Amino acid sequence: MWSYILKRLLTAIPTIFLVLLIVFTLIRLIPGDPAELMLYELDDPAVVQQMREELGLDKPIPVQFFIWLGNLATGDLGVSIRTQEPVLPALLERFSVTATLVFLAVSMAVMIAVPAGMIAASKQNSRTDFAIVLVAILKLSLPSFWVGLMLLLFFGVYLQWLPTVGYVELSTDFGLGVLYLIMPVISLALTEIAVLTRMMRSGTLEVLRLEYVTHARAKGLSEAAVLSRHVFKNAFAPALTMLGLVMASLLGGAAVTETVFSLPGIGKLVVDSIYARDYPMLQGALLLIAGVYVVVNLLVDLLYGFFDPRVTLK
Amino acid sequence: MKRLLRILSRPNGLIGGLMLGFVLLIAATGAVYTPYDPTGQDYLARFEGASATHLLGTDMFGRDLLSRLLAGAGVSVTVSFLTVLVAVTGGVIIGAFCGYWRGWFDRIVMMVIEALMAFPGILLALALMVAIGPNKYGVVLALALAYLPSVTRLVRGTVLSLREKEYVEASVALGNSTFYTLIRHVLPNSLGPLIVLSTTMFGWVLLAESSLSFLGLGVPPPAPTWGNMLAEARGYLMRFPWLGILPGLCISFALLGVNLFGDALRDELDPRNN
Repeated sequence: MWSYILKRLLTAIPTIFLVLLIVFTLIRLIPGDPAELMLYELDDPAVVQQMREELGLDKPIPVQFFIWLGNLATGDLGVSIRTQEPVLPALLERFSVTATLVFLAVSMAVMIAVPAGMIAASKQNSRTDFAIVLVAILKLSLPSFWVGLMLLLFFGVYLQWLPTVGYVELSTDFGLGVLYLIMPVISLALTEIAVLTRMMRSGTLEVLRLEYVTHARAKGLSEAAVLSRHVFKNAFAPALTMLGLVMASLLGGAAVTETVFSLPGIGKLVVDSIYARDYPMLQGALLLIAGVYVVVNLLVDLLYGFFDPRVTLK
Repeated sequence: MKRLLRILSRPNGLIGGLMLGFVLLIAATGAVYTPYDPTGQDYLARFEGASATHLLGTDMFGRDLLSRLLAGAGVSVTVSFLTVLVAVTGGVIIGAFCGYWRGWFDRIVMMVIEALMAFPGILLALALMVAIGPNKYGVVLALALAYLPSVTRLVRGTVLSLREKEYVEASVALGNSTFYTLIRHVLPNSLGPLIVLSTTMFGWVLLAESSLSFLGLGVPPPAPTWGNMLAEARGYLMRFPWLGILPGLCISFALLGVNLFGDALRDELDPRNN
């Protein structure tokens, strides 16, 4: 297994290298560079040029790229142009916010969607099944940021039950932190619940047709035991792949939810950095996001073997 | 035609189809007729409630909300349609080429596709939007590039498995050119999953355009889309909630139609589900 992990990580290196190259070139194609934006009011080309030289932006892009790679190799991601803070600690701090949000949302989705999908499948074509499928497709059709806004409006402004915008770290004040996270987590989880319920339902339907399930029923096991002991693991395997992809994209792409609730997460950081042309921060953030994508997918493939032992890792 | 009837005979296909038809009708209407100029401002009539003169009221600039929703449907649907068209056309050409000829070209392209897929689509589109600059066609291009990888992967996978089929070998053995074989025998057989993906993608793009607008980088105002109407309403939601509720409901209605119809389509066309 260790050699498999090593191999996977090694094959990810070219992908990540390419990601970096694309990011690096793409953001330098964006009109307006940081020096210009920062010194906009001075309107003095000479000062802007001097700033450019200080930031190393006067060098050709390939040269800049290799300087950055060299620094990266020593663990130095540079300093943010926008806020002057070192990139790495800032990234980790922002990432912990997003990770908390995504972890809670995905856990919530799994806890609701797995039973819902399995119940729907075990009662296929009944009213329960119809209701679950309908609710899932409704949830799938609600834009998460709109749901977020509506939650804010109803629970935050109208009923005033929950604090509207902002973030308190769970480690500082757990109770308050949870209150701040309730609405973002729900609005982020809704779509995932819908996607996962549908996957779980179709996965369970497929497994229920297999002979070993008939056998388990013939032994006289209760339907609940058949579902939880015999069907669950096999039906969950395909949903797991989906879950991994969803989680990886959320870790980088919760930008909209974070914007709605003003959460200081990595998605919002990327958006702010794009606007400010904060090259070092943006490069670092996208490197982190791509890295997380690779690691999450690796973890999913490793877990896959647990849920479906027929899969061997090579 | 027969197939379309079969899809519409499923309850989700019928309801979804009707909803989708309604949205397209609204979009077509909005493109040619609106009760008021959707960008015409009237500062004496800001934040009006529903009345006989303004059926759905007015927004923060006194613009007629119904007109904006109608015109917005036109823009949103056009942007989504064009995006899907560009992404699918590009994806089919690249995917078919990679899957059929394989070799070094395929390997390089697939590496780039892998790398692009390691970004969340919305962030990629966001970065592209800033690079291209905010306009309607910028949105189309940015979103099409963000969704191109999924189409390419799907087409390449199908073509890879189809090229080993006997009828493809037979066509090549008969002396048909590769191009002819590809167009005549390979692509028609990968149409099913492609149509399903395109339909789902239409929904994704509709949603992504509104997300981009929400982050301030979609189709730029004053041209209305459901997404930027929602984004503009954000600051006024506390006192005038309908400004945000209505466009959100429109997006949800359209998405629900696409999802229901897409499900029926998938059950009918995707052989893996039969």
